[in-house]
Amino acid sequence: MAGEIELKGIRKTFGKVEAVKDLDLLVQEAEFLVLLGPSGCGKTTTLRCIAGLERVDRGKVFIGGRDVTELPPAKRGIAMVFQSYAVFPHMTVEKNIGFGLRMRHLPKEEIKKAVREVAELLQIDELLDRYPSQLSGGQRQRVAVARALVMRPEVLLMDEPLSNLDALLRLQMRAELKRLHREIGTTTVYVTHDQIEALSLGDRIAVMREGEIVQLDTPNEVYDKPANVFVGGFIGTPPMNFLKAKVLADDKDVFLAIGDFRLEVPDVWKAHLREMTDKTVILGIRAENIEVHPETNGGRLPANVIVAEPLGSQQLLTVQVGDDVLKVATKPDLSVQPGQAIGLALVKDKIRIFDVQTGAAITFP
Amino acid sequence: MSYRYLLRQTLIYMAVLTLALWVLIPILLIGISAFTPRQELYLWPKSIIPSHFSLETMRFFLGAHGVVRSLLNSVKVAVLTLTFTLAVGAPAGYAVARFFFRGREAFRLGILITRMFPTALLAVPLAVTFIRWGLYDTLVGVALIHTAMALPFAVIITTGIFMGVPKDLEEAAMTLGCSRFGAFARVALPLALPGLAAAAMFTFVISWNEVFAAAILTVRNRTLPAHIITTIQASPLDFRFAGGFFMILPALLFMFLIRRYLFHMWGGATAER
Ligand SMILES: Nc1ncnc2c1ncn2[C@@H]1O[C@H](COP(=O)(O)OP(=O)(O)OP(=O)(O)O)[C@@H](O)[C@H]1O
Ligand SMILES: [Mg+2]
Repeated sequence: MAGEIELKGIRKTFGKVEAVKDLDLLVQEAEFLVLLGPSGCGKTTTLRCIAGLERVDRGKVFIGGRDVTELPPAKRGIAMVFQSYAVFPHMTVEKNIGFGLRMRHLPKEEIKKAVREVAELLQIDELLDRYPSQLSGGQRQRVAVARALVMRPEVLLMDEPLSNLDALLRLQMRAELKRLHREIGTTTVYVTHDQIEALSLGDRIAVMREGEIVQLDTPNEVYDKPANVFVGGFIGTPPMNFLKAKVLADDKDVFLAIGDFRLEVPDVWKAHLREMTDKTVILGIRAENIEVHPETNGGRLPANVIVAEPLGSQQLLTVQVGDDVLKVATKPDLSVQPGQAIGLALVKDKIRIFDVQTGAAITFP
Repeated sequence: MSYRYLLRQTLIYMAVLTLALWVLIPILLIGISAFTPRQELYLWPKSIIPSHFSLETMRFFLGAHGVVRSLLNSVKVAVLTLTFTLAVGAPAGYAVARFFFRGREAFRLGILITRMFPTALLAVPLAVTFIRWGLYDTLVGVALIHTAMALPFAVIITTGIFMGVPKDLEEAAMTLGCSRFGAFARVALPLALPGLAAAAMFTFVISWNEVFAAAILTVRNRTLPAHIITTIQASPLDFRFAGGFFMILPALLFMFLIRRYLFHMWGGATAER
């Protein structure tokens, strides 16, 4: 209960821009929730509303069951790590980390001890006497995290804390943040537009678009069962493939038609799909759920290779199917040439279908 | 160490040297003259280095009627001006830097317009108004006018300074337990201090050097420049040199003091690290 966050219908506009539109969200205690979405979708604004750095136009914010909507940041029991780190340049690392505790007027000895502990946890105890200008980007980032953690907040808010680091360091810090969360278990809301980060860190991911949450699920669900075309297209490298398909049914069977090709569907769908006979849907499938066969015959979706890109651990094919272009992941040693005709087999259980008009996933109980 | 590099360095240093001499030579000459025995000042040809160091001229100047008093007046006026200007200018600069409000851009431009009116034009109405308000011939009155002169620059300078302090830092302080004002006082202000010191220096010098308004708005409570300008026609040469030296001295001292402060703040961009 202590670290639970609840947003009830919060709304925030800047002039004519609706940055957050009537957003509801419940973050469980000790959960690591990632806010993920493209640039400008309102992630930072949502986080700042939780922090109290932004006043909501309407709606309510609860932290640990307490209505904090009207409270200033200092009274909310939160700590925040900024994208820019925002470490104070005129204070040593030690002073930076101890800043919040000094604001609480704790005894000096106690502050020193707490600072040392958290510094050790983040492996910056050697740097306590330095000024931020003498630190590397990664070290500064650790100071920012330490400064937030030392407060033992009910809720830890992080706004793209890794985005200013180089790729390798980012990988390292990602693992470290994960370890920290496991050790400390503070409720965390983490903003990023990097889907890999979201998938690897989050207990759950809230995918945002234009000020709204379009899907709130575990990483696997978000990846395998996107709630709509937007989520499927936003998450995953490469993003999910989309094809136009038509629902066809005869006396015996129901299937999806892609051009002349008839695609088998999972058995549980059949009864429901039958009701949609002759409707066009969008079929979604991920690159790794398509198998490639060098020969085109025998119940396979015919395709033409446009480009083959070797990417080390796998090979990425761009292929043409009718009017649609698909990405297909294959073994790195499969030898194909541009222009070559191949046959594709779609893994039946991994197929998703979406409404043509709304783009929402069509699911069957 | 190519030829071009050397050439460029030489040119740069020559330019710097020229500028430095341009400023320093008059100061040096005035300084030397101020400590030259009186008779030697009137010799022709005059040697640059005096035969001996002498406080005679200075003593004469300081002993002259009204000098010490006007000197003190000047200091008082400058300090008052500094206080008024920073008290009003720094918050104004902070507001312009941090908050969106209607007419912000107009304010930023408009503030300079106050400098468009020549003081000469305003002198008579000002004098009349000041007499009516009982501010005529008071140091506070002069300080107010100097504040009006320095304020636009102070606002512009402090706006720039506070814009240079990232908003994030204050917000971080707020999430760590500070109130809005606490965040300003503990984070924005210390970071802005070097810049504020520069603004202060600027304000001090504006007030210290201002002659016209000070001369018009006072009769008995003259500041040093006002005193000198009204007496200089009738004064001997040595008085002028000593006066000039005294005009320069506080500004120089003040600059040296502040300069140390400017460069020695936690070593940010400079030498130490
Ligand atoms: N202070 C502000 N004034 C005006 N508009 C703002 C302000 N802050 C955010 N916005 C607008 O609100 C929308 C959401 O912004 P927000 O910063 O929350 O996006 P974001 O999801 O964090 O994006 P990014 O990934 O680029 O950081 C954007 O359209 C942005 O232009
Ligand atoms: Mg953002």
